[in-house]
Amino acid sequence: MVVNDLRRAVVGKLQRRRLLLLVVCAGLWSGILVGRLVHLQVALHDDLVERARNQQEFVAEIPAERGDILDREGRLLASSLDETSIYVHPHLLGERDPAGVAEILAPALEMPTDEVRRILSLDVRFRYLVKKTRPEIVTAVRQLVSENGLRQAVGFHPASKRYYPKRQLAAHLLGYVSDDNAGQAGLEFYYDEQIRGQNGQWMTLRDGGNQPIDPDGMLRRDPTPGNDLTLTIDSVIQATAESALEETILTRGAESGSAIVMDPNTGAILAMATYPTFNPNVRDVAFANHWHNKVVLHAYEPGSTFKIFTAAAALQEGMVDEEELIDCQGGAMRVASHTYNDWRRGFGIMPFRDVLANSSNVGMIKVGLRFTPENFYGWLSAFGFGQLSGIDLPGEAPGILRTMERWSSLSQSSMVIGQELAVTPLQLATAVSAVANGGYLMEPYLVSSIRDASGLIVAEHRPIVRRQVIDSATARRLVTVLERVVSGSDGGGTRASIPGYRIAGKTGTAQKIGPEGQYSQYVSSFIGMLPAADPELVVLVMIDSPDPSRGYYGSEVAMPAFRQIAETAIRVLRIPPDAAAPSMLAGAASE
Amino acid sequence: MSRPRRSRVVNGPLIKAREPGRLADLARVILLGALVVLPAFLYATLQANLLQQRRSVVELEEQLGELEEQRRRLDVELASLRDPRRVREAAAGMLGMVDAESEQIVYLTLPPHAPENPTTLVAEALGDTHGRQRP
Repeated sequence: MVVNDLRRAVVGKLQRRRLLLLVVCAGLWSGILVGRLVHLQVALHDDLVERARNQQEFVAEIPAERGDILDREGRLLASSLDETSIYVHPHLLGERDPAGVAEILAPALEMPTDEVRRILSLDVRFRYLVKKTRPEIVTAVRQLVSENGLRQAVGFHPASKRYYPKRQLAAHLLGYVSDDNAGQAGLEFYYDEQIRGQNGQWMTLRDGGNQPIDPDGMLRRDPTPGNDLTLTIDSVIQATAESALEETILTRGAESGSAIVMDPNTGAILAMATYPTFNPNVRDVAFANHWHNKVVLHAYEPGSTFKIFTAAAALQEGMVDEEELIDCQGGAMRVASHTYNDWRRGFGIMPFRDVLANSSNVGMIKVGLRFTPENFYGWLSAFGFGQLSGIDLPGEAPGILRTMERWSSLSQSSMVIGQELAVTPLQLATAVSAVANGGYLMEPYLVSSIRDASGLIVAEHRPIVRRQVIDSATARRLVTVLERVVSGSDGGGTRASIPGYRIAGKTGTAQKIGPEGQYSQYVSSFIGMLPAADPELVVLVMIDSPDPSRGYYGSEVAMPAFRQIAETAIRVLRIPPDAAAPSMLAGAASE
Repeated sequence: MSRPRRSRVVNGPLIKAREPGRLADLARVILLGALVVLPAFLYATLQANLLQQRRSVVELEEQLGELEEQRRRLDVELASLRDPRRVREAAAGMLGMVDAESEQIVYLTLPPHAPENPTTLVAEALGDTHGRQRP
């Protein structure tokens, strides 16, 4: 009895221990499970949700439509169209023979069968068969893919393609976009944020075969189209500027050239052309240096066109007046150890207005040396040289205007006649515009307004006056003097004249160092403003390195192109002549 | 032995007397049923119709998108055909047109109240009272 009680007690104790052990083990196991669950549900929650989403969800980007670019009359210069890219997952072809699939797809893709086979045989997981292709090709390939059970391996990706319907027209200022529609140059780059829009998203669940389950999508966020840009450019004036430039460069055997047409009263650019040019639709076939917009990027020694600013400053300071007689010393003058020569010998004593009209270096240096260096430097800065003009284009060059500490004994006398400094065509046109509009240095601009997809104006450009450089009376006097360049018998400028219009302007023929290191080349230019009574246009033509054997003076090389551009501009803008209209009418009627 | 007498079955107490309002109750039930079923049927029909309309809207939206895209393509094509360089080439090359000389362009100062017909204005300005234009 006692033994039994003892045994029962021992067994009971053992059972309790086992039970306790079991409970402890179960507790530990439960604790581990709960801990793991807490770890998974709390600590790793976000990570796991993200992983599940990546595995199950199919998110496709819907590209936003890039805004259009229009000229001042609303003519289309750049637009985007929906296109489709066709891609392949070569590893998902499985047992299918790439050569057989290539034979099926190649005719519809309008690609060589060998090329398609090569892509299908690649040891990669993804490769484009064709990017941004035409809708009829996409439809044909879609049908073949569906009929031949290739839906897992071949896919279609919506894309947007940029088109420039007027080809090379205004190519340098429009710029271009990359394959993924990001602005790369010109206005496309400068205004990228405004015109690119915001991509939309399309999200759905996908099956094991990586295909979307619900084609209507679980979630769709529509893309926001980009804004449209309306430019100050006029397509017709632009086209004329480009063809006049091309014709001049080809007939004169020149290297390159630029032209710019500007409204001096607002700073609006009406045309901006550079040659050689390129077609932005197929820009890869052009040389990369043809993509550069030389109007804003290329600084050159302006030569005699720069005398306008020396004259403006001298007239404003009262250092000279139009009638003051200047001795041009027969066309040669020594400063320090250097002799400056006029473009022809024999200039004697003549009034200052003739010094400018005849473009005498000697006469102009004599006037220019009346300034102190500080004063002269101040005037050049006031006209905006050595500074960015503020135009809405990327990569503008400030030109070269050295500070006075770096001037030599010849610097001032050289700068007076447009040497030892470099300006961009845009800077020159902007500074001349200040003379044309009564003394106000305007900020040049290309975009007049930005509209959203519904047509509402979201931003509008108003003319910006940077500063007044000279007073209107001085500007008026200078314009009158500059009229003699074109109208005077001694200015050699009749090639620029347009019947009925008074034109003021200045030629320039700057020497340039050639590849052999000698001054063997020229930059020929002409800048004019019209109608002289109240200028509405400033036109600059600059021809770089014309063949000297075919003529190199600004008056013979650049003036004819100026006339061609100006004639078109006055017709397009309906600028009435400043000669009395009735006399023209009477003249025409009496024929 | 006499045959046992057949007892007569009396069903009378088992038959419920005809209730006067029974038909009315039945009508009420049918009406109630109709009130429940008909809206359900109507709802189902409307839903089917709505689905159909939604499908039509989606189809029309797709069609609109396609037409919009087509319009954009035509805009681009039109812009390309209106390229000033192309127009000039066509005018000068195919049609033999030339630029007007400056002397051929006449500038008129418009009077405050210009006549409606510009031809009259041109003719008057050129001194031709018969309304003929100079070639």
